Amino acid sequence: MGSLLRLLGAVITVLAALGYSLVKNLEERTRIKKCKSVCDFLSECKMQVEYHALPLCDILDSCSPLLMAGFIESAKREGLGFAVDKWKDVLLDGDEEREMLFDFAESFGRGYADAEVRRCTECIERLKKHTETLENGAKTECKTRLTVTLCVSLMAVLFFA
Amino acid sequence: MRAVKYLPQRISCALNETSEKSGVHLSEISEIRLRRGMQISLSLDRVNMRVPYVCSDADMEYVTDKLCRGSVYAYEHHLREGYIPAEGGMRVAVNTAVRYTDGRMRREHIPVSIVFRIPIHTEGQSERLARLINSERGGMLIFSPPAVGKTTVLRDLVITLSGGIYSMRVAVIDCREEIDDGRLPETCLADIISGCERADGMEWALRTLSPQIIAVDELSERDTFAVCKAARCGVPVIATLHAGGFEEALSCAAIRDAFSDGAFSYLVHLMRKRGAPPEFEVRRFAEGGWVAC
Repeated sequence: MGSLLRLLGAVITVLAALGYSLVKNLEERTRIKKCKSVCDFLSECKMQVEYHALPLCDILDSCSPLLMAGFIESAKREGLGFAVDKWKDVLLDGDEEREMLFDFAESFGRGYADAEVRRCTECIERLKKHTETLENGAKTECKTRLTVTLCVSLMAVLFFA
Repeated sequence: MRAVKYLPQRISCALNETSEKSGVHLSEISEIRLRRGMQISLSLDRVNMRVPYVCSDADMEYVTDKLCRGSVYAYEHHLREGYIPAEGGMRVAVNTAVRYTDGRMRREHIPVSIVFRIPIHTEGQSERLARLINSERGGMLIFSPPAVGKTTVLRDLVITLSGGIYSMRVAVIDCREEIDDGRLPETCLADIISGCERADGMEWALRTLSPQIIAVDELSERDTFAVCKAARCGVPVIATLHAGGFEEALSCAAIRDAFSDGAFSYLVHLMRKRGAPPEFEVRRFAEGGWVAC
């Protein structure tokens, strides 16, 4: 009975360590994916401003409603700055990228086309660079996490055994 | 009043307070003038009133943002021309400062002044002019000083001629999107051409729309060639012009030539007193002389 409980404890520890590692990796991937989708949205804005000078509400109309539906509706009604502030927790996971997007959204549409295109480009580049850093960091962290998890699991098994 | 939706709440409150104090209802106002760092003024025909509220940069930016639906860049070409089209045929003149950067002329996006010109409704009041055009088909030039209601009369004339008993095909060259206020009746046989130069619009209408009449707002000297061309094609043109009186209207050689070529037959002086319907003084050009109609 005692050895069975020890075995159970070891299994739970190993599973918890693996689960933690997986959840963390998934969070990292979601964060990167969200950054990329915001980058795509900004690229669409840039393209529409540069080539068609479309007003923001028309750009938002052309976006897929399945993608950030609530955010798009809010931006149409209350403006981009307000919508980004309201939906920041859903749009992005990290504080840094949230701040970047908010800075951009707050003053979007107040300048002439060339200035807006320049600001779109700057924000996209900053976000892309940030995404790359996150991706590189995620790869290293993933390896570290896995190694640590395996070590902890091994230690736990040895301890319980 | 439709202009209120473009104004910050503090300005709307100031307007309401002034309206209450002066006993002038906001619906009577024909112009609202916002100037950066200066007091707001209201115009009732030719009378000007001050509103004790000084417009800040933030106010001007708010109004511009509202007028441009949060996308100033989309209205860049309108701002260069000094206006932004607003809902309901309201004309919004936007005066922006010009600055030079790297040898290039740029307009600042925060305006120095914004003027809301609110249209007055004169439904059916241009019936007399419509009868004249219908009885003896010929071009008509309507003139008055600014802010008397030329565009409003032209809009009413378009509605009258293209609907009801006349039912003519009218091509409207609406360069500044002021005539089509979104409230033209469904029964109108009017084709609206907007966003192009007047002369190009008239040419386009002649080639593609087979109109019976062409209506164009604020004719300039360089557009008279297109008016004469339309008249030669058998399509009379109704146009408006800025002028203080008959002599001033005919002081321009191109306008005089348009009358002698038969492009215009009627010269109409538009007058309006506060709260009263518009009055017309009509003269007809026939056999080298002017006849009062």
